[in-house]
Amino acid sequence: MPTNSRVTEPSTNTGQIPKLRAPRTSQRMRNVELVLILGAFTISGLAILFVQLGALGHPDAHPFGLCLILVALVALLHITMRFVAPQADALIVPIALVLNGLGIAEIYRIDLHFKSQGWDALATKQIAWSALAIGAAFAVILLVRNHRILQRYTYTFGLVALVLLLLPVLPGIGTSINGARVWIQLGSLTFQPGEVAKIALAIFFAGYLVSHRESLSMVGRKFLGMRLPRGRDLGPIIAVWILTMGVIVTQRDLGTGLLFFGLFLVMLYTATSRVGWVMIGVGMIIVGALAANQFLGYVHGRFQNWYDAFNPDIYNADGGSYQVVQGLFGLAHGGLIGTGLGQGMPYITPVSQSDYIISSLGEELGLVGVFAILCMYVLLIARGLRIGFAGHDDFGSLLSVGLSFVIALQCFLVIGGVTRLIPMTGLTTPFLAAGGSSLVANWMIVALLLRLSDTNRRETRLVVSS
Amino acid sequence: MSELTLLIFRIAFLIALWVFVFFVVYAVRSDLFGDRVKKLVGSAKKSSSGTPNVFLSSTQTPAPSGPNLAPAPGSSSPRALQLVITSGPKQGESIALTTDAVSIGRSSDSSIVIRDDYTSTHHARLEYRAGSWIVNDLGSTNGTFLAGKKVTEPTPVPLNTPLSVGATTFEIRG
Repeated sequence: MPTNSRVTEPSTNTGQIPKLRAPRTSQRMRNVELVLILGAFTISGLAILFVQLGALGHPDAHPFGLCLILVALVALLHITMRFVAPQADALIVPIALVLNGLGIAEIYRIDLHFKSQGWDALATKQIAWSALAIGAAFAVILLVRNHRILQRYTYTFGLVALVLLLLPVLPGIGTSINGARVWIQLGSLTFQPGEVAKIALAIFFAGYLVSHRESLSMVGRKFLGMRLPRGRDLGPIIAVWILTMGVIVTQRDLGTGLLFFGLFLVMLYTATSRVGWVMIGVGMIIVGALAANQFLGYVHGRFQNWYDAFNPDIYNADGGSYQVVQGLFGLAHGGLIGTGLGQGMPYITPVSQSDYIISSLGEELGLVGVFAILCMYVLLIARGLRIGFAGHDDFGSLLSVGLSFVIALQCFLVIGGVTRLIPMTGLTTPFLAAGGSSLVANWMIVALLLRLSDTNRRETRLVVSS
Repeated sequence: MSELTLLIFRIAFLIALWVFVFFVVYAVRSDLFGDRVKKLVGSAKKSSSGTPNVFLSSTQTPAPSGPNLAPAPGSSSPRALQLVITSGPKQGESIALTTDAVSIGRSSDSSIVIRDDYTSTHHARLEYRAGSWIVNDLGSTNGTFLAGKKVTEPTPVPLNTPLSVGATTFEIRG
């Protein structure tokens, strides 16, 4: 086709990137997104309806009214994206929406059992936080027009992350809930700054690693057939390790600590492609875990609850394995296709709306349902990694790998903990669990991934077609 | 609500979840199986024995040195390099190389999108590492060839050396 119209500009010698517009593809992407968003609304609506039929026996129009706010916000987000990020990935928003909607339905189901209503109901709060989170995503899409701007503020983001991490330890605004000091309290509102810190950290790590990758990929001596990095380059990884241990010791939060270290390790590996770093990092995690098990009572308890969960002494102990075992009983009760929404007894497990929401959903949707949820996570994470893979600049690639890996690691730590594959670490299940800060942070990750994928497609520099 | 209705609803909901999952997978099918290929009218027959080889010989007529090949006015950097297409449908076109990676493939998020039968969705990637450009084949079906040799591992690309992706040949020129 010699009369191809896709190449709009002849190549020039200036370093400028010619902007190629492909309206047909972008319209197609947004239309696919629209269809999937409608599907996501349908599934969420059905979930709430079936919860009502199962638990109350009759439909109730009240919660649907609240959800209309979310529908309006998502519509606004979608329409805005048609203008400011037309080529963004079409699947990320729908998947996030389905997970968010399923979470609201299950939280609502547990509220129905405890007969909580109005602002006492966690579902109402979750809907309000979802609105805020989608608003935050909207703001990120509008404000961050090109992710390269973020690279300019690499060290600012590092500082922001550090401050956010320190906030809960400060007397006055920091508060402890269930033993972990990771919350700040402003009036009646509690917020977990560590959740937003993970985004700032991902940006900081990406910027830092892009400028230091050359020295970090230098190899030192060989050990067991593996090339280890040089001793003098160990500074950053040790600094992050100390930060991690600091979070674990001062905030008594195992999950967040592990999340940060895992994030750094994966981004370091992606930037340098040296397996040696992974080995060193895993070694440091093992050392840290053993030390924490030895010296920190709460970590030791977690290990015991995991290792010897069905021991009656541990099961009956205060802060023992009652919770994790009830979660397992719930999953077992669900079996293959579940008890049906609203018909199980997920409320027996303590905090079944947040940390243990996956066992609540597992009880009512069964193995088939949990696998569908896991598939959605896998697809979401795969989209993120794929955006990183296609990235044109190193910073953008590293950032998208880091952000999607945060979601992946968080899923692994929580779902692994609930299913007793690993000790429970106390993180939130992304998008599903009751918890505002986590929702806001994850929707901001969604917005950044959308922005990155849009940039990838916009920056096509030459189209060759015969 | 009768037991039977609830059972039907329960199963219907699980089916709805999975339909959603499969719809998403269907939408990303191009990632798994590659983009659809527009059938080329009267194009060369696809022979399995390395069709692109015609373009590989380094004695291939170089691209006409049009104005594109002159050094950029005002660019004083000695490393102002160009990626020039020396054969193929867009022969003579070039892009300026910055330090950003250049990805080549049929997918629309590549830096250089090549729509032909021989190019894979994500075919090859050029990256700037420690002062030189490294080419990496991303597991393409028909391979990436540097000076006639198949690229199997990240390989530095010297100046003025033909690099072939499908029916298109590139050279890095100073």
